[in-house]
Amino acid sequence: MKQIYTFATVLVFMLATFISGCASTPKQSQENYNEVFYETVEDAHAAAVDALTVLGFEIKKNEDNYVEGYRPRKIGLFVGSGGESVGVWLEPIDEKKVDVKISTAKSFVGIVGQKSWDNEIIAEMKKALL
Amino acid sequence: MKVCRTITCLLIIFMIAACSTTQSRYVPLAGDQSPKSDEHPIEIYQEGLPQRPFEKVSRIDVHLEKTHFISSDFEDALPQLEKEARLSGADAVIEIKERKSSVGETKIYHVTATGIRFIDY
Repeated sequence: MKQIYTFATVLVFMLATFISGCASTPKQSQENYNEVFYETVEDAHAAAVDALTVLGFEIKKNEDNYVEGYRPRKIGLFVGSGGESVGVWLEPIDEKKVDVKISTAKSFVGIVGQKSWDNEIIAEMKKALL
Repeated sequence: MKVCRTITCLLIIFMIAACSTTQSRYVPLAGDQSPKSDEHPIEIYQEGLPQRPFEKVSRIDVHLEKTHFISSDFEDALPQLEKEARLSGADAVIEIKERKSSVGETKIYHVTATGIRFIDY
């Protein structure tokens, strides 16, 4: 009987791990955090990739006008971290003006240890463009 | 009883393995360079610049995160930094910038550096 409980616990633990591996997808909307950069779209794109790298995101999609990253999960003593996905949309307004929109998507499992990275990404992009 | 012990051990190993991540990359700055061999020594300039002529060949990033309130430092990042330097064709690393931050019990350490190639080699 005790062994059955142990196996059940392990199964629940493994299931939780598999579920936690699923990330939400960031969505573009009018409510996304946005800021206008007076840079070419190429420079803003390079800055976005640098910003995500510095903040510990794995780059999942790297297109001309869109960068998507995922922060790997870590199991903690009390609260782990990671599991967030971010999308950075780069919309050129003119040759040296880009509208940058950012969205952080949190996943259902592990949401307590997750946070919005929008402000940090904008700050890191500014640093990279100095 | 033996099964329980094995499962407990496996769970502990899993928990420890899942509590840290290491990410690294390099971006070429001067076109693609031939990677250096695994034994190639990488000089580390934490301050100042080498006296020999050089060219910048790469931007290197190493990112470490650990939970359980365990922090990382430069020594932890060094093997990965040297590995990326070799892959990018660098002989040495300069302009080392360290950043430390945290999210809850996760301690974050990031180092950015510039890989250089000596041009009198």
